[in-house]
Amino acid sequence: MSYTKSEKSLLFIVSILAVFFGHNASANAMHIMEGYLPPLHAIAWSVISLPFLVWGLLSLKKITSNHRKAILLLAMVGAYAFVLSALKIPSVTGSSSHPTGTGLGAVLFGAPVMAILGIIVLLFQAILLAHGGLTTIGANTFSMAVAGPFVSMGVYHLLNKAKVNQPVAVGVACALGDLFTYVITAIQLGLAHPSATGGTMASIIEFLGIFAITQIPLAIVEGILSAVVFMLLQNFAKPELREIGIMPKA
Amino acid sequence: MKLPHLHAHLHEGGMLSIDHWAQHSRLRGVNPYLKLILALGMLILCLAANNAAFGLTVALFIMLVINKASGVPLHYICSLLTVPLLFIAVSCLAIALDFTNQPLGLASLPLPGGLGYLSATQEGIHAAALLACRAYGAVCCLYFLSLTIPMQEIIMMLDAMHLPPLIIELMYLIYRYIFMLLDIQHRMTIAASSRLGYANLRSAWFSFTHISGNLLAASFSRSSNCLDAMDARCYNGRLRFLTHNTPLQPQHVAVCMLCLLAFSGLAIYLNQKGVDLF
Repeated sequence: MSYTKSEKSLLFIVSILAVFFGHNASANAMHIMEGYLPPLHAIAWSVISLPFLVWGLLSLKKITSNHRKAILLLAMVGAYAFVLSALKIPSVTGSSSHPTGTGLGAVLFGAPVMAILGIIVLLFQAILLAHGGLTTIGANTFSMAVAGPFVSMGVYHLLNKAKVNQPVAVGVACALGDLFTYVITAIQLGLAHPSATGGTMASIIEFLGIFAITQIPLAIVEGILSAVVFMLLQNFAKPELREIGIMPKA
Repeated sequence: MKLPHLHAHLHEGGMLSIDHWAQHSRLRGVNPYLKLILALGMLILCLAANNAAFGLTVALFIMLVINKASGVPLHYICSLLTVPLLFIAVSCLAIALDFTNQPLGLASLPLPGGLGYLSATQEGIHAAALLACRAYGAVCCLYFLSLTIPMQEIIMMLDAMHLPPLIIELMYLIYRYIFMLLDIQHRMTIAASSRLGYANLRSAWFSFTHISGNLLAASFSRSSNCLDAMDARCYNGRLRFLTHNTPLQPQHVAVCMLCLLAFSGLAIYLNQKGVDLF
C-alpha cells in the first residue's frame, strides 16, 4: 500500500507533533497562575489588552459578515487548540497547556482575531483545566494572544515581502512569536515581583533564564510544526480556506 | 443544538472532570450570580490582603465548602491542588534566588566564569513563600467558581453583562466543539487501543500523533457539516438557548454576605495586627 502525498505530509506533521509534545511537557509554566499578580498589575495588563480585543472584535465582525462559514471554522480552530493542549501525552504525566498554534492562526486569520480567540481559549483553560487564572487573564491574553501573534504576523509579512519561501516564513514567524510570548511573560513576572537586591531588571533576567530551559526549544519546534501544518493546509484545505477568504494568495 | 453537558464520556476522572463536577454540583440550585460574587469577592480579598495566613485560611475554607456543600470528593480536590505545583515551583525558585555580586544571605552558589553569585536571601524566601500561600488561596477561589458554576451558566452571565453577541456565540460554539472533538478523539483512542495501538511506547506515540493529526482534518470537515445542519434549522447568525432561572433565596444571600464580611474582617484584623506566618 502506498501513501498519497497528503497522507505522507500528514505522517510527517504528526512526527513533528511528537517531538513538539515531547518538549512541551512542562509548558504549562507559560500561563501565569491565579494569584500571582498583584491587583494593580492584573488590572493594568487587562486594560492594555482591551484595545486589541476591540480591534479583534471589529475584524471578526468583518470576516464573519463576508463569510458565514468563518465563525464555525474559527470556533473549530479554538476548540482544536484547547483539545490539543488538554490531551494526555503517552510517557509524560502532564499535558501541554500552551494554546498551540496562535502564531499560525495569526498568519491565516490576522493577529487581531487571535486576540479574541485567544482570550476565549484562555478562559476555558482557566475554568475547565485550572491552567492560568481569572485575575491573570489580562496578562496572559497580552502575552499569548496579543504580543506573540502580532510579532508572528509582522515577521510573516516582512519575510513575504522579501520573497522568502512561504512555509519558511511561517515557521520563522511562529517561532519568533513564541519567543516573544516567553519574553513578555518573564517581563510581566519580573515587574510584579522585583528582586530584593537587584530590582526589576535582575528579576526579569532570572525569569528569562529559568523559563529559557523549556521555552527556547519549544519555540523552535513550534516554528517547524507551524510550517509543516501550513504546508498540509495548502495541500488539502486550500479551496476551503480560499472560499472563506483567509488563505493568503500563494 | 443540544446544550453540551449531556455527554456520556464525562465520567469522574475523565478529560474534563472539572466540568463534570460543576454540572453535578449540589450547589446548582443556588443563583449563579451569587456564586460568582462570592468567588470573585474572596479572590479579590485574597489578592488585596497579601497575607500568607489569610491565603491558607481561604484555601482551607473553600476546600471545605467545595467538599461539604458542593459534594466534590476530597481526593479529587487534592489532585486538583497539584495542578499549579509546577508553576509555583519554577517561579518561586526565581523569586527566592537572587543574582548578586558578592555572597549574600543564607546561602550562595558561585556562578562559573566569575559572573557573580546565586544567593538565597531571607527576604527572597519570605517573598516566595508568601506568594505561594497567596496563590493557593486564589487558586481555591477559582476552583470554587469552576466546580460550582457550569460553563453554560458562565456564558449566560457574560451574555447578560452585554458582551458582544459574536463573542458569546463563539464561546458557545467552542464549548460545544471541545466536546465534539474530545468525543472523536476518545473514539479514535478506543479504536487504536483495541488494535494494540498503545501496547508499547513506540506504538503509543504513533497512535497519539496520528490521532492528533487526524483531529485537525476531522475538525475541518465537521465545521462545514455543522453549518449545513444549522442552516437546515434556520440558523440566522444568533444562537438561542433555553435558560433556567434559579431565583435568589434570602438564606443564600445571607450566607454569602456573612462569608464575605467575615473574611474582610479577618483580612483587616490580620493586617492591622501584623499577624503573618513569616
